[in-house]
Amino acid sequence: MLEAAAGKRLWVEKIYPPWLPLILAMGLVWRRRWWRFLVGGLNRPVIFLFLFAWNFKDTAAGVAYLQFLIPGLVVMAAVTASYSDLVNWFTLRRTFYRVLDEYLLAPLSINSLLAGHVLGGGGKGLVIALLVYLVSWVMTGGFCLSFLFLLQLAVIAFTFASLAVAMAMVAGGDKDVLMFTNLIVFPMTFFCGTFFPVERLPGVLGKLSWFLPLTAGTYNLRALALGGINHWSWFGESLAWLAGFYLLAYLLLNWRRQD
Amino acid sequence: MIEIKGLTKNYGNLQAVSDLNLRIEQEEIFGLLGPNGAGKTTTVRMLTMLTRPAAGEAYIAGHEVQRDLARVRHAIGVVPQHMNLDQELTARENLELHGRLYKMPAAERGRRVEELLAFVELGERAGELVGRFSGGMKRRLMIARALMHRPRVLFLDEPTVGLDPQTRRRMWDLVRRMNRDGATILLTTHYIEEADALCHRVGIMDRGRLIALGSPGELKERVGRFVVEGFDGDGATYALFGTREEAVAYAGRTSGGVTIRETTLEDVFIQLTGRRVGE
Ligand SMILES: Nc1ncnc2c1ncn2[C@@H]1O[C@H](COP(=O)(O)OP(=O)(O)OP(=O)(O)O)[C@@H](O)[C@H]1O
Ligand SMILES: [Mg+2]
Repeated sequence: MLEAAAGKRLWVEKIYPPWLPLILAMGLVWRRRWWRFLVGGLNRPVIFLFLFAWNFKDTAAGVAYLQFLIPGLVVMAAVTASYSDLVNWFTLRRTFYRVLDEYLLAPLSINSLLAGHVLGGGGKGLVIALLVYLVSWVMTGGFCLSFLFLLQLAVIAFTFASLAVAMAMVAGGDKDVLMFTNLIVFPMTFFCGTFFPVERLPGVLGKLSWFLPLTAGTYNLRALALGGINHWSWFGESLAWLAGFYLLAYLLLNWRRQD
Repeated sequence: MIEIKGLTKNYGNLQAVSDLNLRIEQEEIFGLLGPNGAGKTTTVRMLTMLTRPAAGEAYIAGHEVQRDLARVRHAIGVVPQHMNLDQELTARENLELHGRLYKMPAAERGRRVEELLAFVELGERAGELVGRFSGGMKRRLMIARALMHRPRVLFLDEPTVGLDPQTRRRMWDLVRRMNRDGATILLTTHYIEEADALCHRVGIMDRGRLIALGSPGELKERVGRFVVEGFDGDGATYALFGTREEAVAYAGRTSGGVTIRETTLEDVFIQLTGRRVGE
């Protein structure tokens, strides 16, 4: 049964990235309940979309607002779809299924472990956000789709997937996760220029909003969607948030490994 | 096969494992026996790199743990004390995932999965979600998973805890078969009979220390082969003897009901610590 060969590798290693199996595992679970994940990711942005479209589509100002709003809804979809499922996925697997130990035993670096989760969770967020974008496009028209748009959207999705992993490392259970999500993450999706320009926020809040991880990305995505114009400073800023959250998640994962 | 030198782990002021020295030979079934909190799991976690020791070093299959991570990871298979299967995947998918993480090629992986599912008698349930499995089925699946990548050294942390007597026997048979096929096995247990029946050598741990080491026979020999058990009003009394004749002679001198029986590892533990396992 074991036929242990002394000291030798028993097979030629396959050349695929070490994080790929993790994404496949996520895919298996998500495929089994794809409708739940799809509805869970789409319902909020799509409800907003129909509500606003119903009310605004008859006036020129209304249509202009709709076009302003839609990239915001796409961002919202990207954030919730990458963050919510992944944070639940990983918290459950760390605290309840305890699969984290199995991952840590495998010949897999911390970086691969993190990359697999961020790519898997963020990739799913990206797909959901694109679906929202396409539905909106069909309804109102007048948008651009470019490589840079996709890239900016991916950066946003991966940023919040990283945040999800970081959160999953410190959460004691799903109640902690729910509180953090409701108190910090969801409010953030409203105040980062998603529904209205941040200058409209009362007082200093408008200024403070620029220190939130989502604002620059939202503004850039909107510019890309409406006019196809990329603002490198905004792009750079959102990239920096991604790097920051990825690093945070890496450090927390490493801290968990140390026990 | 496994060499442990001065392994130590503290949690705050608590010495979970202190200065553990041990050699486990190739193709041995070695048992760490001890009560709750003795430090068995901590020892296994240090050997499998899930926890960093405060001091000391360990070698597995000639590779230094901590330093030669990749080689050690390919050489060991681990069944932890708690369930750690992905309950939203099927039995087969759990094994597949493990094989992929260890970079087994698809053909070899598929063959191995079917072979192991048959080995642990889960072939018919392979397509079911693990969340619906019973405790015994999960344990068996965990063993199959640990064997996927053909490790030479197996760590089984309380492999039979919570299993009914029949399933436990089957688990013992599995362990013996794995050992016959060439695996070196380190298992932990707080079941006396298990250590006695299954292990070539046993290390008794208590409060983080290794207090005795030897084959079950040697350990019993050391304290005396026979026990005279009596009752003195407020508790059981034990007296240990090297031969049956001595025991019988002693029993004849005592008043009241006594029983003479062969020593178990439990008596060894009581003799060494003054407590029962689990007290
Ligand atoms: N992560 C931890 N933090 C603090 N203390 C710990 C931790 N892990 C173990 N301990 C302590 O270390 C000691 C040894 O624990 P360990 O789990 O190794 O015992 P064990 O022999 O496996 O016991 P059991 O039979 O209950 O599984 C215990 O006193 C335990 O409370
Ligand atoms: Mg234990």
